[in-house]
Amino acid sequence: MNLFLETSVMLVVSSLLLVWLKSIRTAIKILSLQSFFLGITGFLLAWETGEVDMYIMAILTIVVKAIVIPSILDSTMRKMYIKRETDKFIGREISLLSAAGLVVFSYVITKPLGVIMSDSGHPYLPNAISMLLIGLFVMITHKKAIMQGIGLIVIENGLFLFALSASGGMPFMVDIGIFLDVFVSVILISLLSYRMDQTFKSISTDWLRKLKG
Amino acid sequence: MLPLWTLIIPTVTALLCFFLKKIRVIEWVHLVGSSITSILAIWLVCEVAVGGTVSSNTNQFFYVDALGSIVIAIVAIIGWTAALNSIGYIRNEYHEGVIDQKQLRQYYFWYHLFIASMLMVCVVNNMGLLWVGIEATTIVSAFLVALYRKGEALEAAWKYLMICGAGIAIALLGVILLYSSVVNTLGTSPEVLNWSFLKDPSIKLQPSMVSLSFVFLIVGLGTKIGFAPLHFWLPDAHSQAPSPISAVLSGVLLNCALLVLIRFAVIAEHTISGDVIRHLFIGFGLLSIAVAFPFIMVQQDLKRMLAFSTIEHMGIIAVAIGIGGVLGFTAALLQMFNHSMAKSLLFLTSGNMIQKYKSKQMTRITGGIKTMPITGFMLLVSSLAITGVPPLNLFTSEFSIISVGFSEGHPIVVSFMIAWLALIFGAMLFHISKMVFGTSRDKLAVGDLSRWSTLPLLLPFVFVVVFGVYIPPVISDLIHQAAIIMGG
Repeated sequence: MNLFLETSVMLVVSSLLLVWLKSIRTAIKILSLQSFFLGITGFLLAWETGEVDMYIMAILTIVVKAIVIPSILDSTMRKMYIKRETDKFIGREISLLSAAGLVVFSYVITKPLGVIMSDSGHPYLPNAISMLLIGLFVMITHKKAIMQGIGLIVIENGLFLFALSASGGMPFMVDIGIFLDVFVSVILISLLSYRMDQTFKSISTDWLRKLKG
Repeated sequence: MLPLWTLIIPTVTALLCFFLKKIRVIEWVHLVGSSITSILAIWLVCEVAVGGTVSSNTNQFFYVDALGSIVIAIVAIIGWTAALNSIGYIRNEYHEGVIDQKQLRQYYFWYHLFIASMLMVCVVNNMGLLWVGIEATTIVSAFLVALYRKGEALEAAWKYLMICGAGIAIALLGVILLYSSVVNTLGTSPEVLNWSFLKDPSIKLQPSMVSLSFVFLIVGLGTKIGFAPLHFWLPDAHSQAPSPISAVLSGVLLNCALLVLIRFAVIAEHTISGDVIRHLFIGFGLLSIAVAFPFIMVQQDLKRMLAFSTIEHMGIIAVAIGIGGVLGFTAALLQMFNHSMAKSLLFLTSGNMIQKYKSKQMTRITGGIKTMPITGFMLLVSSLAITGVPPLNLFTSEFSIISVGFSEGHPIVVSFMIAWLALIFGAMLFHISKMVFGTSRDKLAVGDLSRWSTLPLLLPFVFVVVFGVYIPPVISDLIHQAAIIMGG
C-alpha cells in the first residue's frame, strides 16, 4: 500500500513541476514522466487485484501517454518558430504557491468523500483531485496554446487516477474509448497550435481576442 | 444488427471520402453514403416505433429506446438535409477559392465521422460509452469548426476544444462517481453501467454520491448543451463553422448532449427523488433564456444571433424538463424536435444568404426576399417559427410548455419565460425583417444559389409548417413513450 502512495505523490509532484517550469519542452518531458508513473500505479493495482484488463490499461498508458503523446507534442514544438518558453498571467512563485494551496484544498475536501467510499477509497483520492485542479489551473493561467493543451492532458491523467481510486478503474470498453478520445484530442491540440503559429506567428492565446459578445 | 450498420456506413463513407481523389466522385460517395445512413436510421426509428425497444440480444451493447430514437430521427433528417446542402455550399466555397481540394476532402471525412459519433451517442447502452461518444463529437466537430484556417476559425475551435474539453472532463468525474456508487452497492459486473440495467427504478444507490455526481454531470454536460453561464464557446463555434455544420451543431449535437443528460437525470432521480434535479434544470433554463435576449438585441453578426437564439431554446427545453410530469416531458421532446427543424433551416438559409452577399453582417444583407426568392421566403418563415408565431411548429410546443407549467404549479417561472420570449420575438424580428424586406442591393444578380443549396431545405420546411397544425399519430405515440421513459 505504501508503494501506491509514493507513486501517487510523484504524480502530484510532477504536476507541481509543470506549474513551475519555464521551458515548454521540459514540460513535455515532465508530462511523459507523469504518465509513466500513472502506468506504474496501474501496474501496482493490477498486481494487487490480478485483473488482466488493468495490465493492458497500464501498458497502454505507458505506450500511448508516456511515449506517443509526448513525442507528438514535441515534434509539433520543433516545427514551430516560437520561443520555447512558457508565458503566464501570474508569476511563477505565486502560481506554485496557489498550486500547493490547491493540493491542501483537495486533501480537505476529499475527507468526507473518502468516508462515503468506505472500503474502495484508496489513499490517492486527494492526489487525483489535486491533479485535476492543477490541470485546470495550468489551463487558466498559461497563455501558450500548447501549455493549455498539456493542462487538459493533466486533467485526463487525474481522472484516470480518480477512476482507479474510486472504483478500481472504469469498465474496460469505456477505458479504451477514453484513451482513443484523449489520443485524438492531442492530435487536434498539436494541429491547432501549429496552425496558430502559422497564422499569428505565435501560439499565445492573447491573439484570440476577436470573437466577443 | 441495424444499430451497428448505422455506425459502419458513415465511417466507411468517411474513409472513402478521405482517400478518393476526384471531387465529382467524392460528392457522389458523400451523397450515396449520407442517404443510406439516413435511410437506415429512419428504418431503426420505425422499428422502435412499431415493435418497441431494439437491442442486440447477446451482449446488450446497443440499446435503442423511444427516447434515443427521437434524437436518431433528428440526426437522420437534419444530417441528410445538411449533407445535401453541403454539396452546394462546399462547391461554392471551392470555386470561390476559399478552401482547397485537401480541405474539401477533410470536410466530407469529418462530416461523416461527426454523424457517426452522434449516432453512437443515441444507440449505445453503456453510460461510460455515452460519455466517450459525447467527447468524440466534440473532437470531431472541432476539426470542422477549424476548417477555414483563418484566425477567427482557429480561435473558435480552440475555445470550443478547451471549454468543452474541461467541461466534459468534469462530466467524466460525475460518471466515475456514479459508477463507484454502483460498484459499492451492487458489486462489479460488466453490465452494471448499462442504461438498460440502471433505468430500473428499484435500484437505490448512495444518495450523497449520486447528488454529487449529478451536479458534476449537469455542469459538465451543461457546458456542451450551452446552458447560460457555461455557454461561451457556443456563439463562437456556431458562427465560425461552415453553415451546414452550424446547422448540425445547433440542431442535432446539442440535442445529443441533452439526451445524455436526461438519461443521467432519470437514473439520479431514482435515488435522490426530490426537487433538486428539477430546480437545477429550471434554474439553468431560465438563466439561459434571460442571458440570450440582450445578446440577440445588440447582435451584428447573423450567425451569432442565431447561436444565442439556440441558447434561449435550450433554456426553454430545460425549463420544460424541470416542470416535469409526462405532459412536461412530452412538451420538452416536441420542443426539441421542432427547434431542430426550424433552427437548422434558419442556419442553412442564412448560409445561402451569407454566400450570396459575401458578408455575415446583418446590416449588409437587405432585400433578401427579392434577391433570393426561395431562400428569403424560407428564412422569413423559419424565423417566424423560431420566435413562436402561430400556426408554425414551435408555437404548438411552446404553448404546451406554458400551459403545462401553469397547470403543474410553476406560474412565476412560466410568466417570466413568456415575458422574455416576447422580448426575444421583438428583437429577432427587428433584425430579420430588415434583412428579408427593404431594398435589395443593385449589384447582386437575382436568383438562388443552386438547386443543391435550396431544394434540400424543403424537408425541414415541411416539418416547420405541418407540425404546427398536425402531428402524425406515429410520431406523437413515439414521443409519448419517450416521455414515459423520462418519467422513470
